[in-house]
Amino acid sequence: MEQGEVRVWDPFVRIFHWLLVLLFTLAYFTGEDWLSLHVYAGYAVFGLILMRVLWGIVGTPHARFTDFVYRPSRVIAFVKDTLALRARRYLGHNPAGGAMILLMLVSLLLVSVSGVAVYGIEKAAGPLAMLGGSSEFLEDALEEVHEFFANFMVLLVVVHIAGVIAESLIHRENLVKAMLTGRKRARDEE
Amino acid sequence: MNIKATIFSAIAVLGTLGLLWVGYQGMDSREREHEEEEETEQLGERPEMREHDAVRTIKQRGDILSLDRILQDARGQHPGRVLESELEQKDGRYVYEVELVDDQGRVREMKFDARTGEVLKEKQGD
Repeated sequence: MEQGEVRVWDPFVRIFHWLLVLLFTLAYFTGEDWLSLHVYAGYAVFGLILMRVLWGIVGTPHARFTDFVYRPSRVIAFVKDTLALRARRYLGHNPAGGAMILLMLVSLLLVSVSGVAVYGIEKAAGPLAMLGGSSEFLEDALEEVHEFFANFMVLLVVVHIAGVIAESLIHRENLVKAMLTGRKRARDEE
Repeated sequence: MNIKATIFSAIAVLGTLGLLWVGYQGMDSREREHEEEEETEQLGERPEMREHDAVRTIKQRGDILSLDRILQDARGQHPGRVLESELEQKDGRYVYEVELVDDQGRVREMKFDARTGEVLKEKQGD
């Protein structure tokens, strides 16, 4: 560890982050063309989300929901500060980053649950196989939900990456590297 | 190192690898080929027959309409460019799936009963 650095992201937070990147990309591009891989990548996403939620309760300090869930007014204020290039530095997730995590967790839950349901209805397979062929209408509706939130996730990813680049530039630190090593510069102009 | 974080990490990595392995091995795309093979075996044909041969055989038997015919119908309803078409077996019946972009640039997905040519489902994408 370099001098003046502290551990911020524990191994699970980092592994979760990059596995999710891998699995979402894989699931997004396999789709119906390679359904079995798509479905199992989706199961893995669902499992990871559940683990992350649990980790948000029992995990290390900066991994906990109590550490990064802020009131909407603070999130908005932080975004405004960022756009004005004067956002303050947070060692853990900043308010906008925290809100992004919540949005992504909810979107991914909706994507995976609707996906499992569509799989159950259309192919009579998977954990919801008993729904097989039950309702064409329900299948169409859930398929729309599945596709909408999958594409919404892509939008969130773009905003997330833009946010990471912005905060990295404002505070002259490499946040991508921090998510790989888990370490960040300890003190700043806070 | 935090023991809890290690346990969570190990479960996440092993679980993901396990699921991806199962998904990769998964029979989903291959299952269909097996179904086709069963079909061809019933016909007394060589089991190693390729999918399009199987389709041709089924067609020759007069059970299903030709893809050309279905594409004609699809274009008749929505003039445009066909992106993708495939024959699938669902619940023991054959279904043609056609994806096309209509003249307004909208993507449409249509499903046809391969035997009767009846439109089973139509969906408009974006």
